[in-house]
Amino acid sequence: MMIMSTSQPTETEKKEGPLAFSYECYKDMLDNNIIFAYRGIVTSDLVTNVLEIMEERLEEEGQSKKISKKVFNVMVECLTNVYVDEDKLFKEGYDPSALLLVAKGSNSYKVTTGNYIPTKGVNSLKLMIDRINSMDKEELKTYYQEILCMEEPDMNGLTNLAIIDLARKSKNKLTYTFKYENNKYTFFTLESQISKSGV
Amino acid sequence: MLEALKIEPTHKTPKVYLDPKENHFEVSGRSIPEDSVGFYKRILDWIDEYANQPNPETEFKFELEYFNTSSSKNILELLKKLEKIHLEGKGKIHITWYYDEDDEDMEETGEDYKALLNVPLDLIMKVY
Repeated sequence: MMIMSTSQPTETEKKEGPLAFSYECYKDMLDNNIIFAYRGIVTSDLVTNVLEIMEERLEEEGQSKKISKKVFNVMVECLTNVYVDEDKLFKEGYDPSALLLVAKGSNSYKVTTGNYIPTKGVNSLKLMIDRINSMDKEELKTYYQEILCMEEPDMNGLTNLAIIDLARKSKNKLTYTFKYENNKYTFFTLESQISKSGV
Repeated sequence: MLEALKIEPTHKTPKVYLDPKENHFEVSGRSIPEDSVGFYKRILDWIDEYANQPNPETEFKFELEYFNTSSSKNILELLKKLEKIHLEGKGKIHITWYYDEDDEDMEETGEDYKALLNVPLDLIMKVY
């Protein structure tokens, strides 16, 4: 692919909208090894479609079934637990959609989700992830079983069980960021890393 | 005898085949519904009915491809109901948890359930 560049912007380059940032976006995705990106409302239909695309993608790349399955399992958990209170967010003027990124590094795959969460829940969520990150494999197993028996079944929301599950499946520490917007909402990103070695 | 409960699979909900007459009890496929509580309620209610007059021996098979933690809690509820039938001596229960040879997470989940329950549960690896 050849990119033309001149010192004077052409009429096309002066335009606003996707045409103006598409190359930058493409370059950013390339530099960060993003192999899949989505922004929108997360539904279980979407989860199914994403799985199909990723199955094909990882098969093309010759990724082992064991690692592919792990990436899918982490993606399913990430997507089905993204907190989306669409109606409430929309009414309050916030974007109700979530972000999903899958990056392929030289040694691992990274699955990242981003979405608005209520700011009042940030501290407890942070403490929970830090606590889970401090646990080893056996501690996580015991804790998972304990919480599995304790928590009442619910519909959605990033539950403690889901965070433990992500840590167990990915076998790596979870990383996160909280981008404070105001007292109501904070943008939360959570990243799970799956080593290609399977360890 | 209790009427069978048969639910066709979708790309997000599992096949459910619970038939006392045929002695065939199976949950298989994907379990990633948006409302897992709603989906499993029908199954849990059916098991409550079945517990009143279970078969002398029940072979219950799980063969799941994908599922989320919300489903895992409902599946534990289901397994606990089966465990109760077994422990109360109403009928013998045997559970088989199948997992794909490439899916160590599904194997681990089966091990979790086995550790949490006091009912015969075998883990079987599917080799291709």
